[in-house]
This record gives sequence, structure tokens and C-alpha cells, in this order.
Amino acid sequence: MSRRDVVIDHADVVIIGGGATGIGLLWDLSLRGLDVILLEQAGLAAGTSGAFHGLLHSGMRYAGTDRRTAAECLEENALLKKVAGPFVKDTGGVFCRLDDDDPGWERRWLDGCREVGLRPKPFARNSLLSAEPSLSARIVSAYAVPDAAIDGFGLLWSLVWSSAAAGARVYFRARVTGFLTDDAGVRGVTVVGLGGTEEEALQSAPAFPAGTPGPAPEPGAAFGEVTAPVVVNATGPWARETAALAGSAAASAVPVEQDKGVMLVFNARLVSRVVNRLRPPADGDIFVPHGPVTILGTSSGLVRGDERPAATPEEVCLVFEQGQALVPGLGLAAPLRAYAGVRPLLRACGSGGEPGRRGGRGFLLVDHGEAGGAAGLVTVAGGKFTTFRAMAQAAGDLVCRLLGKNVPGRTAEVGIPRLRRHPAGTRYAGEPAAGGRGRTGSERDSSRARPARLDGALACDCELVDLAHAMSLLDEGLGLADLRRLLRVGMGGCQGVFCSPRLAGVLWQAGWPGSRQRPRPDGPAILAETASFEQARMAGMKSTQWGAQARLAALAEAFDELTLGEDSRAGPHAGVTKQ
Amino acid sequence: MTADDPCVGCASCVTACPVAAADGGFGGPKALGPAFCRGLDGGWPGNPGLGPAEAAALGAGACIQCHRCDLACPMGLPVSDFTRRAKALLLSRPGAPYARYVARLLAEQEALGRFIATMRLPRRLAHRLAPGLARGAERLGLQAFGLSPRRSLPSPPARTFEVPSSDGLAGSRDRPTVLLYAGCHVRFYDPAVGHAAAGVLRAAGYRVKVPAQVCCGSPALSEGREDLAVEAARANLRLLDQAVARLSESQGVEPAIVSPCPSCTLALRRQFPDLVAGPAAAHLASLVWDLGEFLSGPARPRLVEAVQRAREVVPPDPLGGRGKGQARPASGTDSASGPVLWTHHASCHLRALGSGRPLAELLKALGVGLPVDGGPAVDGCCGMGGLAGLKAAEHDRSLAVGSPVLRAYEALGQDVLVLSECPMCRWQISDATGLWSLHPVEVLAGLLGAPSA
Amino acid sequence: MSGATTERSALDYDVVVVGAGLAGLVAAASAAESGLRVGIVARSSGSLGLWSGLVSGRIPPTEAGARAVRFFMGYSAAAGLPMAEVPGTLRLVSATGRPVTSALTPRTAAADLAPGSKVLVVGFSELADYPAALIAETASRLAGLDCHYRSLSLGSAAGRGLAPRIARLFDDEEWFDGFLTSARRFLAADASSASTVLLPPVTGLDHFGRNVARLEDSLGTAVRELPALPPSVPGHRFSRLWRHRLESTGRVSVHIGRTVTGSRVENDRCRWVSDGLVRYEATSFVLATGGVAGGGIVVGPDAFFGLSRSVGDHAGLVTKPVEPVLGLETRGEGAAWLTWGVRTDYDGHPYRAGEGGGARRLENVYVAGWEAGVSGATGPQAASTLLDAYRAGSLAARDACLARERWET
Repeated sequence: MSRRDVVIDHADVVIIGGGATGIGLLWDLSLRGLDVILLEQAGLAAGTSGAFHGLLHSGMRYAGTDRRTAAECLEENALLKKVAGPFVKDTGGVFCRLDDDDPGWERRWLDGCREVGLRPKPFARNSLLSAEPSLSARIVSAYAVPDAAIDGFGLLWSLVWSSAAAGARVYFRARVTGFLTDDAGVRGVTVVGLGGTEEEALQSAPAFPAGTPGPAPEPGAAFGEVTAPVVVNATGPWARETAALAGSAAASAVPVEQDKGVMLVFNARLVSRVVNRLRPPADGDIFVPHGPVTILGTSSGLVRGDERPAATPEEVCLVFEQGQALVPGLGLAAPLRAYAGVRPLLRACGSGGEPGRRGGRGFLLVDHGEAGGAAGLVTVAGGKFTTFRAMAQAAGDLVCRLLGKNVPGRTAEVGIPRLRRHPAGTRYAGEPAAGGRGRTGSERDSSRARPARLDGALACDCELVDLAHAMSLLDEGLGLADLRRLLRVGMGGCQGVFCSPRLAGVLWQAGWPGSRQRPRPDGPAILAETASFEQARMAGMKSTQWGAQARLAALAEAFDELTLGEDSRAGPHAGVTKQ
Repeated sequence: MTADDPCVGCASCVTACPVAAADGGFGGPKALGPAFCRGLDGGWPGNPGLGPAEAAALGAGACIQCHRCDLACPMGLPVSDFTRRAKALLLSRPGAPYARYVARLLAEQEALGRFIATMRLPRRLAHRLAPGLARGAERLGLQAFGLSPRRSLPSPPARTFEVPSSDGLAGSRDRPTVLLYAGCHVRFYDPAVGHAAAGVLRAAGYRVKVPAQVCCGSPALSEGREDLAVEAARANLRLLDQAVARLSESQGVEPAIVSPCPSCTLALRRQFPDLVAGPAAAHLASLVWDLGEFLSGPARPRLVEAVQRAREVVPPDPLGGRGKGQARPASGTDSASGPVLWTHHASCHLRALGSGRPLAELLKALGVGLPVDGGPAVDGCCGMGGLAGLKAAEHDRSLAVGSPVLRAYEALGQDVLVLSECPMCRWQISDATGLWSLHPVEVLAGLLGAPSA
Repeated sequence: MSGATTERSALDYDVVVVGAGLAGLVAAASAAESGLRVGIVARSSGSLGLWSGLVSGRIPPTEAGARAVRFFMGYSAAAGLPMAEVPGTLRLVSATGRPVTSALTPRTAAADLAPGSKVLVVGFSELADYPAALIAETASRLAGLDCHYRSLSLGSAAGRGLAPRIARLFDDEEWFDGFLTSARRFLAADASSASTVLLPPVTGLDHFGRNVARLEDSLGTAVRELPALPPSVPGHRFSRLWRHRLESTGRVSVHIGRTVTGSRVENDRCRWVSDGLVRYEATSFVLATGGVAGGGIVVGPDAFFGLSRSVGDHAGLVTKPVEPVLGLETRGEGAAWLTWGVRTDYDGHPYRAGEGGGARRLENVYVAGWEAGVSGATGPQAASTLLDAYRAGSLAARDACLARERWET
């Protein structure tokens, strides 16, 4: 491959960013019948949307501070329960005040709730404690709210696949390096296809410092241009940096900051409903029962965009200690891992205008043609996972206006089916390629939500993933990180320690991921993909090495050395030990 | 705190699982245990997680609850408790009425035992008058119950097990009373073991009382009927509590509850506290002893004395009097023609108790017969899996699971006596190899000249 | 110390070994050699279910090292698991084809694959945990071997391809005869040009030695087993064969499934350890609970966060808090689990932290394996575990013998 291998594609709209915002917009515009391309530099939901709390907010967390966000969340909560039903586990939620929390806040909070139209039902203390035996006896009052857990990965994959079925194209490992402009404004983007693993893609350049072009594409990387009358910047916390590629004026219209939140995953359902602490929003005060695990979060702290967010032991300690107040036996639960997400926080919006948790949770929609700078460029940023549909709809309206089309959005009415794999006969790309992209998967069935059969070999013993199913997805060009997000491969008790060498063999057998841009990898390359997958898992365990996880870390090193024959300080698990 | 799940996925349990080795369709304890239970309530509305269909696909029904996975788990997890849940789910499948029926039948040992006990006389009569016909009728009966007609049936005992009440309740500090929890097999099919146990305990200076009792619930648990197991546990707790209370009052110390059956011991000690919340079950569990543990523990000094005394007066009969009149497959191994060759088979549940092989060690220490080593293969599982191996549908798998063990015993030759505490292991080994098997306490009883029937 | 008076009986041994992993079994074997009564008390069989069976690390060229190895090889051979009598370090490849070395290997795994060796990697298509093609590819590139691979199907009998299932098939003589025939048919041509044929370590749980020999006869070339991913058949072989030999001496009682939770220490000597049900009394004790990996040392969140220097040990025997080997402040330099261990003196006696400034030792307790500081600092190498454990077992036995003599005279 050389730089002359130009990828050329054209659509009505190009979306930059494959997180909830971008994918939501992809879905919204696809439903409106537009021709859409989505470019993502790493993998699906590899950024903020892959590291959120898994919570479908009732909004009541913001009832005391940011009533607009609270109202938005409440509305979207009800809407998503309807249209995204297969991805929502309606666990219900509860706000609990502990004996030493400010009772004055409880009153203020109740007022806020009423103002946005919700009357939280008081939850009798004793019945709460018998329904949730792990909760602290120090709870003095509690209220039920309509919080729920949401399967973000499943939802986003299904949206991608549904959009692809409608003709949308999605390019992963496609990094936008600049905007194509002419007198009328932005008319497209230049892209470079990244080789290597997803982890490498994330590490090499999560963002470009304002005003500088991205890093030089590696020699031989595919290079191309994608043109469209409207380009949407949906790069979340990195929206400002992306806008900067179109000039400093565009950047200054996007006052987004990066606010890191740390979450802690416990390997059990410690609670059966979402449990919030009834106090001014602070660290470690939400427990979300999510699939087989419980996620405790979060913390808050501004970070620089060019850092890969990671959970430090100090942050984990803070979150853990706060969580212990609600669940006193927390120390006994297995701390599977910790992870950090970066919230896109709006500086000038919301109530206080201060950075951090009190900053705005509302979202930002900028028509750069109006804001000065670059016509044809739209930025949509901020918000929450819970409000992603509303953001997509607003952005979709703006895009349609710019295109001069009058098509109403339909995301509030059209239900989202759960797809288990890429639908038949659709165009779908794993990476940018001219002409025949990746595999079309025309031979694949489009069965919906058929449970895996489990009567053959398993790819992942902890999460009971059918090997044949995993192989068929690899055949479509997905990587290990995608398998994790789609099928939970490696998200169980072993965190990939014991199964990733097996996955290496599976990758080989699947012929993964042969394409024109990336020829069929050799053994060491497959081991590198596996090690990268494993390292990403191990990074999450670095800050949770107590209890069962301390033992797993020790066993992992022993396993490396005794079975895989790797030096424990140089092998894939070295990531656990080096800070 | 809800139960945390520290399974780290190391697969040690799979290596130790005798069923996974024998049955290629079995998913293994790692998948069916912690992983399965983890997925049980982890589903989403559109992707509902795991249920009976997945349990069936993973072959959950093949688990025999041998507990070997528990002993292999470096994290100390009760893996078999998890696999039991997956197994229980199978019964809720719409297409499983027959499985439910068979499970129910095996789970109801108490009723089955009583039924067989009432059939005792007609059976004996039929066997005497028309043995062929009687056997045929029995086979038909077994088939109707979903049981394997290829199994030999225990010959009907003359009477069910009970100990003469003259032995009395009134223990003393000096000569305390021991409660003998005999277990269904002893009570309904093999009273000789119960008499031998009572005799040996008496010789060691204890009074013996067989308290009112029902089935321990272990078969119900294995069959996935936790509800019936809970009933059984409750009933036993009530009955044993009464007996303990009465004795504690009269003799000033709490009596030990001793069982010759490792599976019953395991149920009383480990499973009752799980099945029935509260301090009563935990307290009762602390009183429960495996017979071997008791005889080689508190009872040991006086038992050894008694054996030595007995050796001075009566010629030892290590076969516990059972050799007489019984058709022995081999000849020339009684006390007259040289030492008895014996080997000890540690049942899976004896291993799960973690008490080692106390009775085998005791026999060795007493210099009884000539112990022979069956080789490492006999440390495996015999495949009977409690009552599972009696089912018609499980017969072949049962033999496959046990085949390395059974072959190794066969290789020892017909002169070797297999000693095992577990009645089902004895059943399987004798059935499959033709070797003669006894409970080790029967040998001890023989040494003491204690009556065994 | 802990250990309420709930125990209702006591067992009396000369030496009690806590733990039944590699360190525990070796220590028990070495203690039982002098004719003493040994009790093994352990929660489970440790991490042997993960072990590839290869002894990694280096055996120090000392008299003590040679003695330990001699003992280990002798005992293992008598148990039915002969080790290769090849001096020095063997060059092998791992389950993913990376080059590895081993100081001491089971005979069926003992190959020395010099760069340029012609090797045929044979896999079974049912066994996902042994990707022959990948191993061959990686080994060619990273270990410089001249590798080819062939994949055989074992048919439906292999089921889901769990390693213990395949090992059981190999133990079935009739099945193995059939396998030999097809192996000859499909592999002979490739095998004849190779110096070594590498198989996954599933050639049987009982008859692996015989099976490998018959394969060699049949193919006319060396056949060896490679390490594979867990579930590990070689680790299981070791565990059951050693345990059987220990038990069959009649001097060793194995109590697996009993977690030691308490102990009694008087005058710096351990009197007994307890599982809450039974007291295990002994003259001397070996602690081989596997450190953090084995659960012998329990790291709570507070200890991890550096809020407390206290970590638990499930034996309840050594010192609470356990003295961190390297100190919490070094966290980040090495794996967190390396920072906790039991501090011992040269002989392996653990110090009792927290009392007398940590200067007092438990005189009749020896620490072996990963729990000991010494191996904690060098990583989980089987070689150092083996040496440690042999020494701990023999020292514990020496003490017990001396005590017996004293008692008898």
C-alpha cells in the first residue's frame, strides 16, 4: 500500500466519532433516509461511550443542581425504555440518605424532583434493607426513582448494524487528519487508515493538540478523502481538538473540557437496583447492577486530552471508600477492575459555569457556519449517554436544515431491535477500503437475539461465549476488543488471563482480519493483538489488586512464567505491575 | 453481603472433574458452575442470559455432585453448589416431565425405602418360589421407575435397621451415648453396616442410640430438588435436636452424632447450614462426625484396647462374620488360609469431608490383613455418583466415568476385598468388577467379634 | 492468637504441612522420608491445576540444589512421573510458540529444541487451547525452529475438546490403537523428516509414558508433549501421582478441603493449627500456602491502598499483621502481590511481626514456596519453590526427629 492508494467515498453527511453521539446520529440520519458515513479512529465506543456507568439516568441525580439536565434525562429515560427496550434492564433505582448526610439536601432535592415533574416515592427503610441486604443499616431515608441499567455496547452495535442495513458505511481505524475546504467551507475530510491494534490506535493519538495536524501517517497506511456537504464532529471530549483542525475560530466555538471519572467493577450483583446516595453529587455514590457485575462510580477531575485516561489507585481508593458507606461489605466483593472514562463537559453551559462535576451536563450543538469559521461543519458534544438520542435528533434536525431537506426524525418512534450480528447483504466496513469493503457477510443470517447454543467449544469460559459465534464475528473483520464489547469475551473472572492465549489460536483459525489494507497477520502479529487485548484488560486490574484480584494478578504472573514461559516482568501482564 | 464470586477462571476444577473426562458433551464445572450462575441474573431483556436451555446445552444433567471440583478450586469456592443450581434448572424445562418424575423418585429416598421395606416379605417369598420370575418382575419395576435394569438389587434384608432400645437413652459422662445417624442405605438395604457400627461404638465404651431420622436430603440435592432437601433438612433438624436435647440433659454433655455414610455426614455437616438458615443447623453440624473420624479420634484409645482384648479371646474374623454363608467370588482369603488382602476406596464424599482415610489408617495401625495398593487410578471416582448411576439413562455414563477406577480394581484380582465407607461405591465396584466389598467398620466389628447382624 | 476452643478433636503428627501445591507436596515428601508421621492440611490442591509440569527457573549449582533435585527426581519417578535426566537447561516452546527454558521436565516433555531443529507440531482440531498452526508459526519466527504443523481430528469422542476428556481417550487402549494407526498414516511422512514431533500434553492421565513411547516407535522419531493452557493435564498428573505416593507410604494423611483458620503459639512455638473442627498438632510445621496467589496471604483493600500495613494470613499463624517483604512503599516497582510475603530468617523461620518489633521468630515453623520472602523476590519460579520446599520439609523433619529422641531418652 502506498499513499497513492486513495480511498474516495462520498455521502450526504460524514460523522466523525464512533461513540454514542456519532452512532446515534448515524441511526437518526439513516432513518431519515440520508446517505451517511461514520469515521472512527479506533473501535466502536472505544472512548467515553465504552467507559460510562452503564446507567440510564432517571435524571434525579441532577435534581438538586441542574434541573434542565434532570428534566432531559427523565424524558429520555422514559423514551429509551420504550424504543430501546431490549437493551434496558429496568431495575429501578433508589436514592438513600445516610445518617450523616445533610437532611437539608434531601428537602432541596425533593423540591428539585417535583419541579421537573417527578415525585419520588418514599421507600420504607426496612423493606429496602430486606430487598437489598448488602446496603448499610445507616440509611435513614430512601426514595424510589426510575433509574435503569442499559447495555451500551449491545445498543450501539445494533444501531451500527441497523444503519448499515440501511446503507450507511462505518469505517473503523479511520483517523481524520484534516478538513477539506473550499470557498463555501468544509466539504469533507482527509483520513488515514491505522494499522496495528485498537489499543495502539488509541494510544498513538487520542487527540491532536489544537492547531497541529495529526501525527504523520505511518508509511504504507491507507490514505484517502471522504467528501460530504456536511461534516459532523461528534468526537465527545475531544470535540474541541477536532474542531481545531478547521481553524482556531471553530475551536473556540467548542468549549468542551475533559473530565475524568473513575468506576470500579465488582464481580457480583451486589444490589439488584441502582443505588444512589442522596447527597450533593460526589464521588463513589452510585451502584449500578449491570449484567453479572456491579459498577460503582464515580470520581471527577479535569484531565488533559492527550492522556489516556487511567484509574489511579488514589482515585480507586476514594471511590471505594465512599462506596463502602453505602455497602459496608464492599471489601469482600471481588474488585474485577477499575476503568476511567472522560466526560465531555461544557464550560459555558449549565448552571455554575465551573469546571468539574458542577459544570454543564447539557449538550452543545454548533453550526460552525453560523458561529463563524467553517460552514458545513457541525459540532455536537457534551450530554450524557442517557440523552444521546435527543442529541442525535437535534443534530439531525440541524444537518437536515443545512442540507435543505425537510425530513422529520423518527428515533423517538422506531424501536431498536437487538441484532446479534451483521445483517445479511448490507455494506459494512471494518476499515477504510476502496470498492469492496471488508466482507459483506451476505451469507450471514440476520437472526435476532438468538441465544448462543453453547453445545460446542467455548471461546470464553467465564462469560460462556460460544466459540463458533465468536469465530463468525471475527470472520466479519471484527477484532478482539469488539468481541469483548459485543459478547463480553474476557470480561469475566479471569479478565482474559487464561482465555487470551486461546483467543490467539482462534484469531489464527479465523484468518483474522485479512483485508487489502492489512494482509493476513503472522503469528507474532496475532500474539500482539492478543497481548494488546490482554494488556487493556490488565490495565484495569492495576488499581484493584486486593482480594480475589490480587490472587488473580499473582496467578496471572505465575501462569505467564510457568505455562507461557514469559518473563513475568516483560510478558503481557507486566502492564499490571508497571505504573 | 451477597455472595461474592471470586472465580478467577483458572479451570483447575475442569481438570479434576471425572465427568468431563468421561463425557465429551459435558461442559465442565467451570462453565456450569460459577460462570453459569454469574450469567443467571445477568441477562438483558433482549438477550435474556442463561436458562434451562443453556444448562441443557452444556450438559448440566451429567454432573454427579462428587465435589471434586470444590477440592481443586484454588480459590476455595464451593463449585459444586453452583453446578447444582444449573442442574436444578433442567427440571424446569418444559420437555422434562419424565426427568422430573425420575428425579422426584430418587429424591424421595425415604418413601422409596419404606416402599421397598413393605415389599420385603413379598419379595423374599417371590424370590424363593420363582426366582426367575421375581427377577424379571423387579427389572420391569426398575424400568418403570426409570432405573437401570442392569443393576443388581440389594437382597432384601430380613428387617430394617434398628438398635434395641435396651441400649437406652441414659448415657453418662463416663459412658456417653452416641447418636447413630444410620442413613437410608443402612436403614433400608444394608442394616449389617449399622449393626457393625453400633457394635464397634459399644466396644469403644459408648452407648448407642439410633434417633428418629429421615433421609438426609443428599439425593434430593443431587437431583436438583432443593425444596425436598430443605424439607429433609428441617425434619432431621427437628428430630435430631430433640434427641440431642434429651441426651444433653440426662448425660450432661452434648452427644456426638455419628454417621457411617460419608454422603450423609457431608449433608448434615456442610449442606444443612446452607439449606436452613439460623444457628440451629450450624450447631447441629458441629456435633456431626464421620464414623471413621470418631473412631480414630475420641474413641480411638478405648477401641484399640478393646481390639487387643478381643484378640486374646476370639480368633479375629476380619470379615465381620459376613463371609459365612455368603457366596464369595474367590476362595481362600479368610483368616484360616492367610491374611486378607484389602484395599481402601475413598469415596468422593469422604474426600470432600477432608478427614483423610481414618478407618483405613486405623486398620493398618491395628495390623489387620494385608493392605494392597491399587495404584493412582483408584483415587478417582467410581462413577456411581450417588444414585445417578442407578438411572437407566445414566448407566453407561456411570460406567464410563468410573472405568479407570473399575479397571484398576479388576486388575487387583478377585482375592482382594474392597473397603469403602460409601454404599454406592461398594455397589458400583462390586457390580462392575465382581470384587467383594465391605464397609471398613464391618472389618472392625469382625475383629471385635461384635455381632454384625 | 486466634483459634477459639471450638475444635472437638485433635490429630497428632510429627510434621504438619499447610498447603498441597507444589511446595506442600514436596515438603511433605521430604519430611516423610525420615519415617515421620506427616499431615497435609490444605484448602485445595493449590495452583497445580495451572502448572505446565515444567520446572522453570535455574537450579543453583550447589550441593543443596543437587540434593533437592535428586530427591525430587527420585520421588517423582517412584510416584509414576519420571523426570528427564538431562542436565542443564532445555530449550522448549510454550503453548503460544514462544521460546521457553526449563531446568527440569517430565520425561514426556523433555526436548531440547536448538534453533534450526526440524519440528512437527501436531494439534487436534477439537483442542482449541493448543493452536498448532500458531505455535508452529510463532516458534519458527521467535525460536528459530524449522516448524511445520499438522492438525488431526479426534472425532466426536473428543466432545467439546476439554483437555481431560482427550487425556482420558488416550488412556483408553482400544481408542489409542486406532489413533496410532491414523497417526502413522497421516503423520509418518512429515514426522520422518522432523527430529521432534510436538503434541499437546494430553496423551493420557495414567498411561502417558507408555503412549508417548508407542507413538515414538510408530513414527520413528522423538515425540514430546508441549505445555498447554489450563485445564492442565500435567499439573493434575503431578498432583494425583504425588498424593497417591504420599498416602501409600502409610505415613502421610492428606486433609484436602480443610482450611486452616487458627493456631496456637506458645513461647514462640506453634502448638497446633486448626480448621475450626480439628486441631492438627505437630512438633514442627511447614507453611506452604502459596502466598497471595495461593490465598495464604489475604490482601484486603486497606492494605492495597496503603491505609493499613495489615494483611491477613489464612493460617492465622504467622503474625498479624504479616510483615510486608518489600514494604508497601515499593508498590509500583513490582507486582503488588510481590510486596507481601512472610519475612523469614535464613532457615525459613517466619518472623512474628508486630510483637517485639518483629525480632521474634516461630522456632518450629518453616515457610516454603511463594509465601516465603525469598521466592517472592524472585518470582514464581518452580525451581526455587522446589528447593525451598525440600529444605523446609527436611528441616521440619530434623526438628521432629530431635524432639522424638529427646522425648525418648
